[in-house]
Amino acid sequence: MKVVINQELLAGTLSAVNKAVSTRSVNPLLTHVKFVAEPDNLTVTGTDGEFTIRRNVAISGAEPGRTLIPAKLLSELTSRLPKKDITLELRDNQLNVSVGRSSYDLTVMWDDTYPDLPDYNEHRLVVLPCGMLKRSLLQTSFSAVKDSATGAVHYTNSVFFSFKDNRLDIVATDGHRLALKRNDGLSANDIERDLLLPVRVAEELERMLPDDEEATVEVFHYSNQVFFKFGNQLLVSSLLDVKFPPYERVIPKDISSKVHVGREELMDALGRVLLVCKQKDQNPVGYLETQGEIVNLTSDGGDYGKGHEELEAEINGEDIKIAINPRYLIDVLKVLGGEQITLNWTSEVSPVMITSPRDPAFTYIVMPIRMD
Amino acid sequence: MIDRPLSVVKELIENSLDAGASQIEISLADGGRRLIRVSDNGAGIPFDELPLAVKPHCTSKIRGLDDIYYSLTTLGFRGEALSSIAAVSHLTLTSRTAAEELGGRLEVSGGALVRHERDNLQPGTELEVRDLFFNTPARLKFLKSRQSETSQISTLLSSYALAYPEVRWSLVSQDRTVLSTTGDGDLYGVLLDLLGSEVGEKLVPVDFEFPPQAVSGYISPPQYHRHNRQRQWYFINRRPVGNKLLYKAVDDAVREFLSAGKFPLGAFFLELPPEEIDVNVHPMKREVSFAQPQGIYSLLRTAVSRAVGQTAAARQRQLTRGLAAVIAPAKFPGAAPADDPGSDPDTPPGFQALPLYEEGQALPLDPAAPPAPAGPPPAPIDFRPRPPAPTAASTGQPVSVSLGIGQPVSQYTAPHPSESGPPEVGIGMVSQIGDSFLLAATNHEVYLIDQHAAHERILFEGLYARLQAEQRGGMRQRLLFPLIIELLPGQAELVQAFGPALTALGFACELGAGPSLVVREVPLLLAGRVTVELVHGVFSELAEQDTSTLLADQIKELAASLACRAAIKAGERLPPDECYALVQQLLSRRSSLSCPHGRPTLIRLGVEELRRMFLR
Repeated sequence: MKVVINQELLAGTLSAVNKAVSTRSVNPLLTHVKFVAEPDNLTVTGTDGEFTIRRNVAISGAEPGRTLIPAKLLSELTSRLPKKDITLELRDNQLNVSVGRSSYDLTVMWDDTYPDLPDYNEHRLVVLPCGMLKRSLLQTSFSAVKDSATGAVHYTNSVFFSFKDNRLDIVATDGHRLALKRNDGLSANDIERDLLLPVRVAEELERMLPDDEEATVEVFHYSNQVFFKFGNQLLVSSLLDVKFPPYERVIPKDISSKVHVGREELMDALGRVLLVCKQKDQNPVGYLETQGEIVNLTSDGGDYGKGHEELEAEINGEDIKIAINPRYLIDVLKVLGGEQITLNWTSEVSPVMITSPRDPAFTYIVMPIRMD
Repeated sequence: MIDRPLSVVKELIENSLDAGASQIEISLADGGRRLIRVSDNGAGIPFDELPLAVKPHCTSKIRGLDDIYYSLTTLGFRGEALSSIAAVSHLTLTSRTAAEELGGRLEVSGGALVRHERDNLQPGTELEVRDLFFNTPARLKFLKSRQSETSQISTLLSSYALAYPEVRWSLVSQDRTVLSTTGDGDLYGVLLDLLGSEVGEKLVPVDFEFPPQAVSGYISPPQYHRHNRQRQWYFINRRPVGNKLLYKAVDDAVREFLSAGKFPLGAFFLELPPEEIDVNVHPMKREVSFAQPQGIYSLLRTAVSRAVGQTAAARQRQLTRGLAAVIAPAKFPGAAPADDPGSDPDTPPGFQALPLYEEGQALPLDPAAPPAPAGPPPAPIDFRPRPPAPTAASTGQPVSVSLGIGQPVSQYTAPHPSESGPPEVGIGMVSQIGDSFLLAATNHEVYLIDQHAAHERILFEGLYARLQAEQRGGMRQRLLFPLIIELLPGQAELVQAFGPALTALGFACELGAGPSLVVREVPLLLAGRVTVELVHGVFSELAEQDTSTLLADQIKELAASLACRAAIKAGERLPPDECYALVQQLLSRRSSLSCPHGRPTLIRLGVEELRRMFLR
């Protein structure tokens, strides 16, 4: 194998692929990246066994070959090399990396048991606009629980893709709040499919997807894996084998009051009262109460002190009073655009629903905190 | 009921005590088999009454019928002991009352009178029992080794020495002094002798009154313990007793500081009105029965809880002072590192930290007069060496103080020295080791923290705290999707039995079809931590509990079990800010030196320990 590739291109490719490479794996193979060279294409793959990122790089005049290279070492070396063409040449079990007068021989290996991807091309599910998927993930994945503390996999550690009736719902929840983005008008040939993507993968996918309205992403589903193919990149993930709860049922229907309030105003005020909440590191409590055209936002931090904010609002319906984790509201206000948001309230024991007039496809609900 | 030398000694010294002796000497030969001699300087027996003393059912301790019903305060009264001993030994009784010029000597062998004559004696009584069981080989056969019999007697005598510190006791076995006390009335002095000065100097007074009942005594801080009860002494109205209820009260009081199978050292004196107790359920009188066992249990448990709670909290403050100085002020300059309302540094911590011991028990503990938080409550006996006062503190050296009620608590909360010398530069960084332990360091010490035990403690106190303070009500996070837990056979009953405790802790749940448990709300503190696995784990633990226990105990069990299962596990990697927050929260707890199951949460290595470890 002999490949000539620009330093910046190689460094960028490695840093993208390395996201899927495990740093501490029981299987040493998985700390390597796989290079497969063809005359005009180089495929670089990194995987931790569950999650795979692959990138194709157009090159020319390469000598075909394949090898497994220590991922971290190659990436660190590449990033320190001059911004010129780098020559990678495989000689027995050594990969020679050279630029100008710099020359390094890295010990590399080949092992047929390095996980390979199945042939998924027959199993295309849908083609989505990249921007739409990126926004949906951004607006939902924050609601999931990042990592499972116990190692047990739970639906709260996932972002749920539900294809049904020519629409795609993307949902995430931590059991106390839930974010739902409904994408209608999919030309998806009546597919009906439920896919649970690990939240870590969903976040990585969101970062990798281009913010380009023209670009599209192809989604494949085969066996227990999902494939996202866009541009020269491929992201593959194992799906979680758990059941996502019936999320549509918890979305409140009988709204008894609607509070329209400035988004940034509310977000800033919440950020301030959060400073004087008890247990602000874990389970902070803020109190929201309406009175006439005013939303009172208070917190009581005991020894820390207390906070009070008044916000002007347009209120339709009865006065509301809820105790809520301010962080849950801040999280959603960050990912919503527009000047106004609406708090939809049903009762003290029902979830509060946050909607945005500018983004009607998005729904966010939070369970209140109850007091005696 | 004379079955071994021990019972002989017991009967004889009780007689001596009833005779008002201030000095009692016991000599043994061959573990009491060959010789038991008990001599005292008590009232003595008039010459004429000597033969009566060894006759069955003769006693000089009851003067009228009223004595039997109302005012028996003597240790014995049935008049059986001496005659039983006389029947199975060669007994010599010599005695002289103060009124007599000469005394008398009485010799009995196997129950038969051998001699009764005048003798020139000092006032007092001496009993010599030789060749015990010489005529009952069956009982002789059941005696244990000399060492064993001697050690039983020595244990017994230590109880009496504690109960009667004003008596000068001595026990000599084979011409070797096994035990001797000064008889100056200082209980603490006796304990020091019995426990050694290392533990002795750390003892914490137990002092609690609920008139007409009272508990006094001393207990060791939890870090000093034994694996059996041999260094625990229990007394009711000065009578040494062994009683499961009393054992349980002490065990339950220290359970959150000591793991199972470890016992604190100490002596516990209960003063109860005579009508509350019956000592005659067992001829040896070791066993007692109570008219109101639950009240007695609460009394002792509360007394011990308070003492131990205070010492644990004070020890924590002392140990973590350096760390708190570095970590806590980062966010709260000048404030106590606490986020609970009971954190006023001027308040003795034990009172807030252990509230439930005072609630929900059969005993309404002094509702009118809560222990005054300000000022040092009086110590029963002031004995401790004064701590090396502020001079040591200002050097930044950890101060080794013995902790007790007698000292104002503010001493432990003195801010870390900064008025003199260069200002403290705290390292305040918290690193995680092996995904299981946290390491924090200041300029003066290194702290090692068990992340699981620490978080368990935090959760436990958080869950438990919401029960004492009504002001914040029960904060509960409502769940978006109810947690549905399929119940195994028998678990539905368990849920019902623990229903009130679950509700008290902030769960809203109901029995559903299946049967299943449907959880709709969880305590805010556990939001995001309650899983099906956790609930099953808790249930399997509860299944081993006695469901008939008090609600307060159920709640505590449940809180401990939940805290343990919901806490961060060992082996869990934490981001640096979580490590930091964990240490911060731990510091804000009262008694964070042990998890609710009694394992330590925190180990401190000071400069002096490090020096020692590096052989400097």
